[in-house]
Amino acid sequence: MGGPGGFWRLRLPRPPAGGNEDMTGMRAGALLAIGVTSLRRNLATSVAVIVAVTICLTLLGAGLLLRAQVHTVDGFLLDRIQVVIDLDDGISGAERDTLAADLRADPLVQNVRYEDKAQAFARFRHDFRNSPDIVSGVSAADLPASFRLTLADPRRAGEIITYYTGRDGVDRVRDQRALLAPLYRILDACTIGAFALAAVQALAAFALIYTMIRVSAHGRRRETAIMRLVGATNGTIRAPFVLESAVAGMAGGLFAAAALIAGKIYLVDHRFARQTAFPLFGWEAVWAVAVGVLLIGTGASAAMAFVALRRHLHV
Amino acid sequence: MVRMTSVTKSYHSGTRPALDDINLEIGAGEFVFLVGPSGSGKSTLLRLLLREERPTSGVVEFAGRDVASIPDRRVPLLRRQVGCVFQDFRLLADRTAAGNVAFAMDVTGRPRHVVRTVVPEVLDLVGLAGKENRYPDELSGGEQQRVAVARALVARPQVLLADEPTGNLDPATGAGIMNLLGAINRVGTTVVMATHNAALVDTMRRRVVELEHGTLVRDQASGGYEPTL
Repeated sequence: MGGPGGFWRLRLPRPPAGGNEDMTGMRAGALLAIGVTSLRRNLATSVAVIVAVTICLTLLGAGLLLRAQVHTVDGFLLDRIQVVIDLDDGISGAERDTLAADLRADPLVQNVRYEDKAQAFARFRHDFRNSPDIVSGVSAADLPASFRLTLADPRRAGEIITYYTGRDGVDRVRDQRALLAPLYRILDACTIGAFALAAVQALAAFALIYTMIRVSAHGRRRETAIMRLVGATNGTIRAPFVLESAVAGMAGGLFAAAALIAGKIYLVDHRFARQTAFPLFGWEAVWAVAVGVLLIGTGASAAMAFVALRRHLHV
Repeated sequence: MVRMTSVTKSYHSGTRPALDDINLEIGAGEFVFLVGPSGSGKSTLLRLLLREERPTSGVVEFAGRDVASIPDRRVPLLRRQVGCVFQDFRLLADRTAAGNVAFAMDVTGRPRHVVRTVVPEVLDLVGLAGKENRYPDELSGGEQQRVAVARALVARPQVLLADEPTGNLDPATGAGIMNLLGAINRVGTTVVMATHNAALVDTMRRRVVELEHGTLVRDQASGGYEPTL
């Protein structure tokens, strides 16, 4: 038993010369222990936060994957002809040659290919090879010869259509991408919808994180008061709260990533792949989005905790 | 060590200030009793030293430095040099005696091996050898206050502030804590103790600073609780 008489031999490490200790924070182990204890103590709120973050990030991820799908379809179509000029059956050779020369000289047109009636019929038969009923009712004479154009900039198809419609020997000018407008509209609407729901859910997640921090700060007010008293830095006092929220956010991110991966396997690859002729987004997009939601979940939750702490923790 | 020059602290404008034009100097290694009725400004004075509050006017200096001008992020360093102990002990109920002391070291970034060595040592010094693994509710009031003192000591503070440390203890236990603070003072730590315990003050015969309605009414070397001529 040392007793008061032993104070002369107090062997505590002295602060460095100058009287100031460095401002080192808590050891990672000690910090983690406090954060995890706090998470467990507020289990119900923590679970609510994780659920809200999961839903938010799954919606965000779904929106991002829809964007990826739009890009995939775009890329697929960019390789194909965007504008087709159907020719009158009565077009003269001279008219056709003039038109071809004009098209080749047009800076908006990157590539021109002439397709005669026989070639059009061959392509038609190939495209509808699974529907013999349709093919049997059509002959080469029914299909127009055409110039098939690849544009330097597909978004300027409108100018081409305006310029060449009504020229001698031209039946009509079609933008094939215009046929897909309804598909793009649906994809865009779904994307906007997913992002909007994700934003609403992000608000809910923020409200829950705010509550979690408030409850946690209240439950640990004695602990934080002691921390201030013994000279813990502001960063050290805040760190367990930020960590608590970041861990919840990371859990939400992991669940969301899992949901997106499951969606890719069961919905996209097993169902949609059989129902559409368009290529679907690949695994690179899924991995990129999964990593993205994980990082966003962790980072945004930590940042939200930081905001909530400014209000609820006096340091 | 501590110098207050014309320090006034008002919480609400219009009302009587909590501290009114205080001039006080406490040298290194001194033991000072701070006495006065409740509401006389004792706690406010201690809070100014910890930078829990800033003076409305005047200058509070610690080790030659104006406390109010310390940037916020450097305040923790001040608090590591000023230990404190309170009437209600302020221990964490879910940590043992050793855990409470270790907590103070953990949150100030002490390496684990230092914590492991120092905690048993300092608990031994305050007379709690063998009780390291008891929780606060398994310790008597006096023992809990010893844990609080040990926690304040591990940072090797230059000044120890004690706000009514014996207020919740019976006289004999209070005297034990008093002896502990005396021993800490003898090895060079400045001790400032706010108290209502007249018997202790009269027995110790140390410097007494008395406050009343926020003004300093007495500063007496080797004084008692009540003014003597």
